[in-house]
Amino acid sequence: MRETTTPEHTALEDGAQPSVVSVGGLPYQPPHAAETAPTVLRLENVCVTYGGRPAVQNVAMDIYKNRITALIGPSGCGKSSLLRCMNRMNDLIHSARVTGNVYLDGVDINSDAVDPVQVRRHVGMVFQKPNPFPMSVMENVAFGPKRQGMSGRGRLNEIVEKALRSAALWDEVADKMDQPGTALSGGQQQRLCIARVLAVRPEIILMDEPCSSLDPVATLKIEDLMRELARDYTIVIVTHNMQQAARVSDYTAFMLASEHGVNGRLIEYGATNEIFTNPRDKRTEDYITGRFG
Amino acid sequence: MTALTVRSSRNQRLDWLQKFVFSLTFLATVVVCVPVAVVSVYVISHGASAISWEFLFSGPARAGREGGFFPVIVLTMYALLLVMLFAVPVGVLCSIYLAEYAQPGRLLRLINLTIINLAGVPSIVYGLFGAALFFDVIHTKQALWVASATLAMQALAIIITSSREALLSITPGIREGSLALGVSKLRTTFFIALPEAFPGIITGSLLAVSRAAGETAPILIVGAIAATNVPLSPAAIVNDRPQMLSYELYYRITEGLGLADERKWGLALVLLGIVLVLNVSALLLRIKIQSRGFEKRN
Repeated sequence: MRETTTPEHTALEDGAQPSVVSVGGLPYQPPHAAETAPTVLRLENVCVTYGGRPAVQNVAMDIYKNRITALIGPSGCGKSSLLRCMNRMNDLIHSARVTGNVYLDGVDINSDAVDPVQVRRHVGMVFQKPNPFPMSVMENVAFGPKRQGMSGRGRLNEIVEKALRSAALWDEVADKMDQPGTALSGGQQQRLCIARVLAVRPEIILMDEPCSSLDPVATLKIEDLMRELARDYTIVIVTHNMQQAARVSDYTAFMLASEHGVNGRLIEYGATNEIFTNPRDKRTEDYITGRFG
Repeated sequence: MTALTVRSSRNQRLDWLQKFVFSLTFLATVVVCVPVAVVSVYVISHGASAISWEFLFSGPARAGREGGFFPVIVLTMYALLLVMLFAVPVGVLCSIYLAEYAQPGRLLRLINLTIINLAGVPSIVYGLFGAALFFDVIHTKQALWVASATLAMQALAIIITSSREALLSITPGIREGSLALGVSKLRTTFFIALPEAFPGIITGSLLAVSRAAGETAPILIVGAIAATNVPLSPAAIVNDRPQMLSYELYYRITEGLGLADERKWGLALVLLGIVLVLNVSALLLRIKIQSRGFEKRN
């Protein structure tokens, strides 16, 4: 759990009663009544189906600014599908159908009037398998800014260096800028992909099991990096690794598949230390104590 | 735990089977390679003596029995360039639609099936179709570009199939990587997918053009003629009837006028040379493109 940023935060944490507010007609319970950070992403009644088969059902949750939110749960519980709702990546899957509302700074990104390309500039994504473009390290990071119309060698160099420094990769690749990004090690490739996202300066970074193909050392580096990045960015991470969620996140959402034949229910969502030390739901407790999954 | 046993007869049978299957695959490879080598050596050894400055760079004399085949060679080049010009843009655009934009479903399956069938249509049928389309429907006169357009229709099937495969086989995940940066689908297609697929597209396109270089039946039907002296400006594309090496070879072989054998082999050698140049340039272009981007800044 990160240090509390303000004294009020600590003060409220003890005495606060979970208040029930109504959002869009649904009873809505904030996961952490004491949170002072503003909500940047609000999900309401989000459902995803693939070819009619439900993958995510009626999920409502708030994502807080500059916090790391982890989505955990057994495989097939819909956590990746839910993540992909947050920047309309499900649009790319032909059979996927998303309903419900996802408000980014108050605007419903699922509305027809919103351009998904615009959404993804605000909400970037890092994938399970590092996917550097078949270009040089420099070109990889400059790709996003260039496509947004930025030009000028000096300006681009500046952006690229800053992004690589933020991704804790600069020292390792400063003399390899012209080498192919695919020639880096797995962990470096993943940080390159993070730098690539940082270069377009999104508000939110979604990470879909970003460490699952990395060794433990590279994984720790990425986790440290995430803590660093949380100063400037909001991060949502899907992980199958409960220790990772416990180490790195401020909030944890537990999802479960095949709950009475329905997939993708959000079982419990709250501050990470509460979820891991004092889960309210028996199923959460069973999962985090390793009784299944 | 079972102990390691000495070779049983069963083991030895399996060993023998392994060696047999391996030999079979090796033999098949040899069977494929040997004729290619034999044909090349045969064509070169029989045709090389006919190749001379005059044979390559002068016009035919005495109905092609003397002189050279310069006009045919130039017009063949024109024809092949035109085939590329007609077929490659349409073929590549079509493959982009099929690989990047088309929604999977019954319609896409039908289109893919049609394109596979297109590749299987005999070339003479394309000739017949070309003649019907250009002479009976559009009422154009017999010209080189009509032959090229007819050959291009046939080349399309190969270009579409190979380009689509090249696009579908690019490194998985990099399209999503680009889209997740807030880059539009169009830009992702042009800046990520197409450059990745480019070597495959080039190879497929030049292969299709090499095939077109060897086609005789379709151009025969749309009015090919034997070697004659014509002005070699690009205006020949619209003004003159098609002359191509493949048809020329066919004509020389079947005319029965006692053309010296070595001149036929010489023509075959020139045709083989053009196809070889096309294939080698495809290879070089591929190598150049694949190393691009990593050395230009050094």
